[in-house]
Amino acid sequence: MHRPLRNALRYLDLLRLFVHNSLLANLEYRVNFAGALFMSLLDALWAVGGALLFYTHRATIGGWTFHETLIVIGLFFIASGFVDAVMQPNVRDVIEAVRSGMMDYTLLRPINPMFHATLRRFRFEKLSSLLVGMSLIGYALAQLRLWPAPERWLAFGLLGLAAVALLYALMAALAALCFWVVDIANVDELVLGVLEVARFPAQAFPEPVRGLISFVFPIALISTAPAEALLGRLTPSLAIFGIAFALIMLWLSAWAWQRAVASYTSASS
Amino acid sequence: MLIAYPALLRAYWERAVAYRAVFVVALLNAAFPLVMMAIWIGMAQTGPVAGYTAADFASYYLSAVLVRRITGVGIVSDVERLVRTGELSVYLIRPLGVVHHFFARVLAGRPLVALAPAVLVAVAVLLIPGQQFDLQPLRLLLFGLACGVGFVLEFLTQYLIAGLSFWIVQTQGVSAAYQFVRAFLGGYIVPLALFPPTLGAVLIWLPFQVSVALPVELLTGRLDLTLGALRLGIGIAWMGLAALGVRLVWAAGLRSYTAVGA
Repeated sequence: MHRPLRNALRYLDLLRLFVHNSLLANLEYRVNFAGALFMSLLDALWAVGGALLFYTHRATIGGWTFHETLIVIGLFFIASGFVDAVMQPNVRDVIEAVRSGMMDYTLLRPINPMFHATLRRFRFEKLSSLLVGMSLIGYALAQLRLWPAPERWLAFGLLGLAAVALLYALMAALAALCFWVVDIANVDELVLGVLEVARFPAQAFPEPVRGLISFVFPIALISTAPAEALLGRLTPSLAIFGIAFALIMLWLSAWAWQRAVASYTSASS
Repeated sequence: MLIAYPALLRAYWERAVAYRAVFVVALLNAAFPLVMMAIWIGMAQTGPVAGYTAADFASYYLSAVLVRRITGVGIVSDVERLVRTGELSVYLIRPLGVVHHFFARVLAGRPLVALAPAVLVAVAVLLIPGQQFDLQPLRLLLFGLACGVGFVLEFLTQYLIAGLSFWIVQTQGVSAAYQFVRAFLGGYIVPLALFPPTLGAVLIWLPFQVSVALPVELLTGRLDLTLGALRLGIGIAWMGLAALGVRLVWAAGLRSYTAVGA
């Protein structure tokens, strides 16, 4: 077997182990699942209610009808589920580990420190948002009487992956940042606050916000672009831009981790 | 009590200054309403939405962010922790009631919490063209009263919810659910005027309108003074009910309270 392949398999195995351990820990607190689902449902009610209010005053907003907007809202919920389940707990752990010097133990392991530090803990109860998001998308597609062709699903899948990669890169970069600036506990909250913009289609925002979130700081890639792919509105150039941007951000975050680990001076010694 | 309060306020003010990070959390809390504002502004470019122009939306939401800072309270998790760990006992043997410690703490932190958004709003007011605020003395007086009532009502409601932790564990969930409902039906996420008229007419009778919608509508000159006074009266009535609720719940709770570790 080739060495890179064996390596990839080893990391996949490790990931499975991390997921398994987190799941066991989460199952200790089963009531949390119900609580998290209840909160996700409330949040969804909020988002859909807000959108409904917009549409009592206008038939379309930025060219999007109500049910099309629901797809974007659903994607936002999936993204925020990913953020809450994977990003937040791991970023918190990295901050704590750097502050206390526990990062030493991660760095000693024969494994990529970025991988170990950012994908070790999952909060499965937060995946309730995922459920809510998928239901919203399903409902919207049924109301639109739309069953997208396979190539649209493919584009949707690719851009969805790009969105996940983008979020992961953002998380990893944030975690790397705390090697230099120890107290970023509030910076990650701020970044998550900015992600709120992904709740609605980018075209619904007035300029200059629309341009900013489409190209400069493309939050639109997280929810608007995959929804456009599903609705068959995405231009190939935009799709390529989205995927390329996500790859570049992934590469940048890996680079930031290398620099961060190189500059790490343990707090304990 | 008159001697105790200045001392309490000073002590908690110093504590508040030590935790300046609340600024950032304040900004985060404002993310969703500001997103809503941006969308409304986008819609208003093809003409006013239910009488609101783009500048109206900007002044409404910026005031809402400011007022939310003035009247918003977050004590449930702290009280819940005291009850759960048994630390509440320390407060119980002090001569002044537990409620006063928390009230003084929230009150002392207020100027600091409101400062950052106040500066932000002041700058925005200067930048938004056209006079969007009504600053007659009588209106300002009513605005101040509304903020005061909204703040006390918020505090009492949260203290009431926190009191449930004598019996249930998930008080924070109840609190979060309350925050969701309050934000949405109280004018923080959407101005009440943009709800369908029948729904909007119901909303002004609910307690949620007091802590954000009422002060903001007074400040932006959207509400005439008699209706404003009526809605303030509704708020005061709810405040009385909440105070009664706090009294009953806490009296019953403290009776059933067996401190952990005591």
